[in-house]
Amino acid sequence: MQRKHSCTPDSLRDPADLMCPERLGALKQTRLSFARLLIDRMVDEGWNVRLERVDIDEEGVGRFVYAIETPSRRFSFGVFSRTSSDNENTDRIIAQEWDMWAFLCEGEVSPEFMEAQYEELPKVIEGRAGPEVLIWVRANRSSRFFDHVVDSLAAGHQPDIDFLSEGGYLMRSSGYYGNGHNATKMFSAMDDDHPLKAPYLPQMLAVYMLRVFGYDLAEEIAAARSSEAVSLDDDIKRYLGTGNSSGVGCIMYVVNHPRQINAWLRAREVALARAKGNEATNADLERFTEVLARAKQWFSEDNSDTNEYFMSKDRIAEGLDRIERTVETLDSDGTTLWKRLCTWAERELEAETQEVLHSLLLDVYPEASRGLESALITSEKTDLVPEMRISTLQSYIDSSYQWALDINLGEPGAQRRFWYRSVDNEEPRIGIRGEHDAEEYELPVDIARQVQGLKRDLQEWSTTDTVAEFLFSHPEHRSTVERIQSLHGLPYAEVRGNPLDEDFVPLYFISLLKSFWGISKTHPKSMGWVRGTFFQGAPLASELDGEEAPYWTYPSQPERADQWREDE
Amino acid sequence: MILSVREVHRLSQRCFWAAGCSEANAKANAKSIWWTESYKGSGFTTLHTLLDELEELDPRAMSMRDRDSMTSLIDSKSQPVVVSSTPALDLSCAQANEHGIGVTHATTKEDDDSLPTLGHVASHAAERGYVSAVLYADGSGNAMTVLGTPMQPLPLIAETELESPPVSYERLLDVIDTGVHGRRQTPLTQAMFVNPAEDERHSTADARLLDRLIRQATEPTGDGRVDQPGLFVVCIDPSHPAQSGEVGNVVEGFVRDREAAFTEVFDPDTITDRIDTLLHNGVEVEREVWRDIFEFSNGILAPPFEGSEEGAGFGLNELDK
Repeated sequence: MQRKHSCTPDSLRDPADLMCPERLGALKQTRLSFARLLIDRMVDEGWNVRLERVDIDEEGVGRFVYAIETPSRRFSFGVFSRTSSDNENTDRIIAQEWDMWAFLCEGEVSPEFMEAQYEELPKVIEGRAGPEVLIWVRANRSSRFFDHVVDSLAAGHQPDIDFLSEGGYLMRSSGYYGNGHNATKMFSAMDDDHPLKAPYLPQMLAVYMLRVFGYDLAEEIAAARSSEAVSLDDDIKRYLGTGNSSGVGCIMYVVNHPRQINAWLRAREVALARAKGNEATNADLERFTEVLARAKQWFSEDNSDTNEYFMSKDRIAEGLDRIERTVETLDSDGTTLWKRLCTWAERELEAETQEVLHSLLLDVYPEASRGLESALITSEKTDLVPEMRISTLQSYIDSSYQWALDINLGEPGAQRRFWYRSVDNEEPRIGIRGEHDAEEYELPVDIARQVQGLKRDLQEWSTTDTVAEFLFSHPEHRSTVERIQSLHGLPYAEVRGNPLDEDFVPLYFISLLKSFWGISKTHPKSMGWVRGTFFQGAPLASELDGEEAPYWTYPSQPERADQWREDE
Repeated sequence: MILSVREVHRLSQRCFWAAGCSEANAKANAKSIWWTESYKGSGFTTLHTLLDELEELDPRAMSMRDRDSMTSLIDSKSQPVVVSSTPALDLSCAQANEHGIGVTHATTKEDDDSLPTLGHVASHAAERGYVSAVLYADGSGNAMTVLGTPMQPLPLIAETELESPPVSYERLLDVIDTGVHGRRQTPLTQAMFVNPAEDERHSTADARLLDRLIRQATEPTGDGRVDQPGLFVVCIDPSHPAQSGEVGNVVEGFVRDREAAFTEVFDPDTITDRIDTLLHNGVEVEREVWRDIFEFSNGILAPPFEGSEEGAGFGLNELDK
């Protein structure tokens, strides 16, 4: 039965609640996350992913070429595999050595093209990919897990799944370079019917291909070492994903892409409002119980350390357990069950558990997200409106930036930090004001401070003056004025926080982006650095069969089979 | 070597930023560079030529000499066109929005290497919905006029280089020099209707006024010279109640009729194709030019200092210890 969805603006969350950093840091992956959109597309359209050429030695040094066939277009994923560097931190931007380089391109790969990519890929800044190339990626093997898998397979048995589940991946990327970086193809150069024409889909496909490559590499090395080697079990392959490391550069992305952040959050909020507006049928309740149970088990099995920044996974599992016990006991009040449940959760549970609940509701009602995919594409291109009156600009500030005016920048510590980029491969970094020398290179991530400065200077002007006149005298405010003008009416564009504050936690912004990308498993390594896993539970390349995509999030750890280990 | 369109934008913006411009002014200047690259194929080389003088760019150095409802006079304190044109356009747009017509004059520097970006002013005005005429003249006999009118998907832009100041430039300057621009009617009317009408092709007063402006904008004075280099940015809002519907078609009709009189007419369809090609194939630049620009743009990056490693996300917990 086709459901009808209604969604009024007042059914979306108040930006005052949603846009604070702590809440945004609690958001979880959803059906609208890019990794999930890619898998939906790959399965729906029956993409064919196959290893086309491989030439490596027993250390895993050599080349791989994969073919990716979609109904309308052929892509290739070329990999240059090297020996492991065994360096824990080489996935930072400043790294010079990686275990592998790869490219995702349109069309087939000739030997000449492969050679040209081999020459260019190691050059971080100057390297030229070419307009056929969608993504460049560099990655490292997870030394502990990868070696364990190879050793196990070469010994003729499966690896220890309990051990593998601590990490959850064999390959971990250090970044994906596309959309014009290193002369790669720009997103805006893709045709509207391009199979990867949606935010981050080229990156997501490269992430997926790293997963495929990691398994193939491990099996190839094991086979080269021993004629008794076995293949990695499909259940284990499915349970693992691709590792990711993200740092403070995410904060700059969030601040510099407010229109995208608004579009992505709004689509999610519209879907959630639609889902909550459904009357729960018995089948819906059954489905909810099913996905809730999966999530509960997944959180209870996840032993990764959340440090002090996120809730423990056990605590989330406890909250999900309370939801399970509460869902059918809530008194009717004329609203839908899901609205009552979410209201109860807001009162009784922590933010992270509430957001898991929201994510699960979108899984119960997949149709609530339908049609919103196109709303995820937006442009950051803006222009000043020079003819605007000062009175109008002031009203925009008063209506949309009260949060910025309310921040007391005179408090001790409120401006302690500054943000800059280092000459070390342009790595984003944070400095301490007054202590570190790089203050003159400060980047304008200080939206609240900018708005307060603008508001102060506007007071000297007549309300009937124009923005053009004001900016002639105050050109330093041009960026802030254009930002305020162009974001007016976009409630989810501005994160209501102060990145300069000594208590600001960058992890919240990183976690927000990870929820958009579709990372579920995360391990904070510091307050500004997170490792995570993409595609845990996703269908394998052999399972992209053109049927409806299976529900693959929150996979359970595979049961250890008798034949997996012979030595224990 | 090939750069993507995004890299051209990014490098340009970073260069202006490294030179001390604010983020937004750097962005505005970078748009001028990109326009010059996409329309004329010379944006990146123009930026390269400008590198030595970028650190002298400062929009805060400029001052307002005079201002009334339709006219703004900027003393740019020798800032080049790429800097002075941004506020000049903003002011003209704001005045045109209010009164139908906006005229801004800005002095500029001698031997201005940013002159190839001038067309971006007319193009940007047209993107904002204004019909525009941008007139430039200096004391060395260099002069240029760019006309722009809104069209889809891109504006129609026509540019002509002259050997002496355009007649329109001289007449507008006369009105300003005599100080009557703020006292009587519109500055354009005063400047253009000094002679009896001849061969009027339009039925409404505003269309006739614009027609005269652009005709005389493409006519050199012959022996005329200006004391100080400068530019006029004239914007007309075709949707303003003071304007007739006819005014929106004047520039296109004039350019189509007299295409040979222009050094270059940037036809929207041709430019759309050119931009599309650049988007797909990238922008070819000399490696040495790229290297100079890249190294200059690195001025926004902080050199390493003791403790800077801890400011990266990985070691962030140690930053305050």
